[in-house]
Amino acid sequence: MRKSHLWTLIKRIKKEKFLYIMVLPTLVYFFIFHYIPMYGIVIAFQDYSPAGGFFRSPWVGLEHFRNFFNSPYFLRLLRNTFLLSFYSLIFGFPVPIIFALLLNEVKNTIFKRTVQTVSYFPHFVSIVIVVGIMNIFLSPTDGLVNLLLQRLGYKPIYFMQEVRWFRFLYVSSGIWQNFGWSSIIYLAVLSGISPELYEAAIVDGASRFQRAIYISIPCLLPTIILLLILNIGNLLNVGFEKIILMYSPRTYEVADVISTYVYRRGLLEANFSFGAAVGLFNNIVNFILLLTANYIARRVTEYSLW
Amino acid sequence: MYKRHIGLLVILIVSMIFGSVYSKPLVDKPVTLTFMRPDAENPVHSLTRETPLIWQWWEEATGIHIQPVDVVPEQDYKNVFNLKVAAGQVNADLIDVRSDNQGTQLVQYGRDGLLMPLNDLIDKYAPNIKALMKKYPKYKMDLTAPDGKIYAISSANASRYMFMTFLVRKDWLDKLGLKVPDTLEDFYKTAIAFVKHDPNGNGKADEIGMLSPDRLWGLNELACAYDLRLCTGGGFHIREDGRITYDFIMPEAKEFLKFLNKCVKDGAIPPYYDDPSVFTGAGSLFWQKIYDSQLGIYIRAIAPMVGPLNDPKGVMKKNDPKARWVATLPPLMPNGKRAKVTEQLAMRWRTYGITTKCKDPVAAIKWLDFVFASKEGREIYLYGKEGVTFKRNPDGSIERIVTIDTSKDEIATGPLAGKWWGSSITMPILSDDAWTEAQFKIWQTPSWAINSVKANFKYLVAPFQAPMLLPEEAKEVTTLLNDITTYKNEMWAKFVAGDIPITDENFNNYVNRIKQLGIDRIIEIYQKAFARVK
Amino acid sequence: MAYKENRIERIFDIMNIFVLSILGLATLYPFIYILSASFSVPEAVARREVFLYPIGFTLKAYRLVFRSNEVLLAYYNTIWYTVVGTLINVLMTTSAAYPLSRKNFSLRSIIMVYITITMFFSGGLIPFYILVNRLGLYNTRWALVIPGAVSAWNLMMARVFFQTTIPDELIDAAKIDGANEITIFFRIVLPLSKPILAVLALYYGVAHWNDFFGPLIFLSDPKLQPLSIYLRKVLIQAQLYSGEYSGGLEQLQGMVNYALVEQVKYATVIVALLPIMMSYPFLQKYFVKGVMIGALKE
Repeated sequence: MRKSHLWTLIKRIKKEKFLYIMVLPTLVYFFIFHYIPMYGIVIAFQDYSPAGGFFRSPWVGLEHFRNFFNSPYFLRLLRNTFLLSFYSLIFGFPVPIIFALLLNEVKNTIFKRTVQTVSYFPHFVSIVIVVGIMNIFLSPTDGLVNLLLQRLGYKPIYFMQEVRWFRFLYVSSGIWQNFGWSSIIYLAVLSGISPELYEAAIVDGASRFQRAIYISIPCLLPTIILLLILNIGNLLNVGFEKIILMYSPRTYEVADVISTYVYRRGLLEANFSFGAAVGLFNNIVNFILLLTANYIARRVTEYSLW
Repeated sequence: MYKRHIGLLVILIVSMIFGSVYSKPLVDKPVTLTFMRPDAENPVHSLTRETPLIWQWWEEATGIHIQPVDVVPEQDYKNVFNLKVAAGQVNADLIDVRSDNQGTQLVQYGRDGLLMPLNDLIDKYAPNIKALMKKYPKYKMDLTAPDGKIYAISSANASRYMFMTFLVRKDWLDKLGLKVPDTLEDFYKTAIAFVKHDPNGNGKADEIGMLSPDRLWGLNELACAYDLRLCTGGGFHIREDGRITYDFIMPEAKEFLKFLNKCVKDGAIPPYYDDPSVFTGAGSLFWQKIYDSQLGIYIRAIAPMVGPLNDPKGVMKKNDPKARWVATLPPLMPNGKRAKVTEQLAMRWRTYGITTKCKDPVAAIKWLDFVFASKEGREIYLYGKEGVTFKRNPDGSIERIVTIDTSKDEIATGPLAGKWWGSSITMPILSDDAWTEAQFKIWQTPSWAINSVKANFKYLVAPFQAPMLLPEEAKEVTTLLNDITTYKNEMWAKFVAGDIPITDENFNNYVNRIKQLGIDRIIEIYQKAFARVK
Repeated sequence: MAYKENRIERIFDIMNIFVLSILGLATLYPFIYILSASFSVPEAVARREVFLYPIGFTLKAYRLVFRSNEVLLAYYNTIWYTVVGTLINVLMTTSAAYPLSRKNFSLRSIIMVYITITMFFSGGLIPFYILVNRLGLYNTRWALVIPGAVSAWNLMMARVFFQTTIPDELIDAAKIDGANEITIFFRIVLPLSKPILAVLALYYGVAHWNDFFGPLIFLSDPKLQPLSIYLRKVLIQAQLYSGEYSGGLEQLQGMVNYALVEQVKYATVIVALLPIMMSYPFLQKYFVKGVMIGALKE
């Protein structure tokens, strides 16, 4: 049985040889630049010293992992990382889609193009400046929001110092910064839909709303599912730069995430191995999340990564 | 014909005279050393395109040419450095080494063969560094790895002026009829007075009593009034009886917390003292508040700061000609004493070493000795070249004949910025009193300002810095310390802000938790390290 | 019966324009702020007085950015890396994404797993750096275009696009006419895929344009360095909060002309951003509906 399976496989490959020629350079690329360097993962199991390299640094096994898991803050860090990502996903994921659909309905091309172009600007602005702009509005002394509040008779709110505002600010500034850029792929897919489909629907009496639901969204669905899966696979990747600019010890309990903790640890002692171990842990968890999301997608819809 | 001979003779004599202003070249034939280091801070004078004049003068004096290699901007240097070392891609003789404060990586680099031990080289060929280490044994101790070897030298803060102090607007004090604050309670009262009585005279209640650019951590400097050393040294303190304490959990810390809490509640400290939106992002508001004459007491300023703040050509004076900033004394302790912690003598996070690839380590150490610790080398660094940038008066004093208008060379840094040497920090600097006093001259600092700083001298004490630890010890310390610091920072912030009342019970719980997290083990390790060095 | 527009839809149109305008203004705002701040007097920026229009007027920040004629070489290098890099990226990405989009492609699943794993597990920077250097790419232009030739993420997006818009029937019809897969790819698939080509060009192009870390670690020759490095040199970034370990000397350094330093940040954003913004309309026409007209007419 096996032999004939193998034989049919080889025959298929021969038949599709041009496809394989097309895919080969990329496969080679990944092998050279991604698989070959993978031996570096061992750093997580060593006491790595740059001058000692991979071969002379002492081996410590799971010590760094144990170190990390035993920290009294481990669960809190995990929870904060997860929640910030999760809220960003729940609230942020639909926005580019809706934005693309709304934009798609606009008839005036000049307006459409302008709004589309303008929506990318925040993506190009570095995070330092994004936070800086937030501060312009939220600063307790000269921030516009607080000036307004005081004019209306309220006391100023210290947004960046309060635990209850942090998640909201983090998530909403992230949405604002990224929704335009993320909508590009959806707009591209929408523009690839044959107009004849829409014309046929109009003939059948479908309203605009119905056309959006029955044509646009289904055409977007594979892309949506792909991006959803990929985003779930990125869930624990909350970068430290933005949070460092926004947090302070008073907001640690919601703002301190895995990457900021590791960053502070790195200030005390530049320990590559510890950072690598935590990173590996992150990646493993992310990968499991991805596998789960992919599995669910495959069961529930017909679109998945494999 | 004779004229030509005489002309040559004159030139020969003159160049001999000028040449003999500097010592003979340090090497027999010209040597080139490569130096891996960050780029000049002033990007217009990038080391990839120009050689700073000071380097050229050093070369004239020593015969050693320095070739910068692998030059990247300072803010990226640490990452690129780590990468290149890890990839075995270091091809330089001299190298600017980055490590953590503990110096753990220095120890590793020595152990793993990146850096050459300097003990013998210093002993034989670097008389000035040798003398420096004799004069300041702590400097030597801080740079000695557990195996007894010295793998790199660092800049040395030997200037007595290098301590953190509290600067206050003398003109505001005079206007309100107040003395310079002397006790912690004075600080509180003065700050409240500033907030209430509009000393900047603009009719708006926009004054701030006390603030630190280092946020809450900076405000902790005031704890020296309780003999608590909370900033430099990380909270660790060697007491007279030899034991090491972690000052954040000492009983006096509770009193200090109550003080800070009172200041915040009553407005002596503005409510945004630790607010990220004020201190990060689009420009630090802190400095603008100083320049706009809205801040009365600047907490945790490096003492030489009286220079730029009182500089007649500086931004402060331009904005408010009446502004006068003086340093206070360390606030009086309950036992009647005063103490002020200086900055670290040796800084281990940025050091300069000789790699094992260097083929001429003797020339390298001689060069380091010259630029870092020798009289002539440092003179070139401070003043430039005699006859070109400075002249020597008959009484021995030195006078600049070229002035750099720092307001013109827009992102100027350091006293002789820009084209003179391109960067002021990333060379090993031995800063001593004369060094700081030379800087005061450039800033045209009035003597009353300098004297207010000098009045602190008799109260100066050395900060805590543990000797370099063995890698296993370092690992244990940082594991414990990261969690302790996170907890401490969080609780401290909540106590000061009033989120958690500073009751005996709450404070004791906090202390016990820190003990649970292993503070005593850390102290034990430090104690062992000190014992080892003895 | 054919559908006719009614009042509800007209109201929707108006609301839509309104909502989109708000979103547009909200995202336009940072650009306006940065532009204003880059021309304002530095003290006004530091005081947070600037929020919409410039206060005072000065070109100091821009003069600092353009002070040396390194800028021209830097622009040239950036354009080189962007154009060459993006061409390689798009070619390799689409040529791999297309086969993977065919449902009957034999080793499709295995290859997808193979690629997905690289998104999660990596040896880190150090082995990658060593590898690139060992391959002889250090300090060459190729170091910036080959090691990053394909992004798995973009590859997957392209694959989904091909899956959605290029039906198997179309391919089969072409095969019957005797074409092989490669000819099909270039003559039929790519022309129909202008939207995804535009998206890939944009995503990869911008990544190249803004890339500074790659040039930082791989290029030591200043003549090869792109705009991002040049701007990073011009810019003295405000320190991230690190008061706990920097010495007092940093305080003295940092205070000089802090406000101007902040302002230069904005000027560099504009300098880096404008060329991209100006080239975007050029790509935008590929996002137009109706590209598929005529394709299905068989």
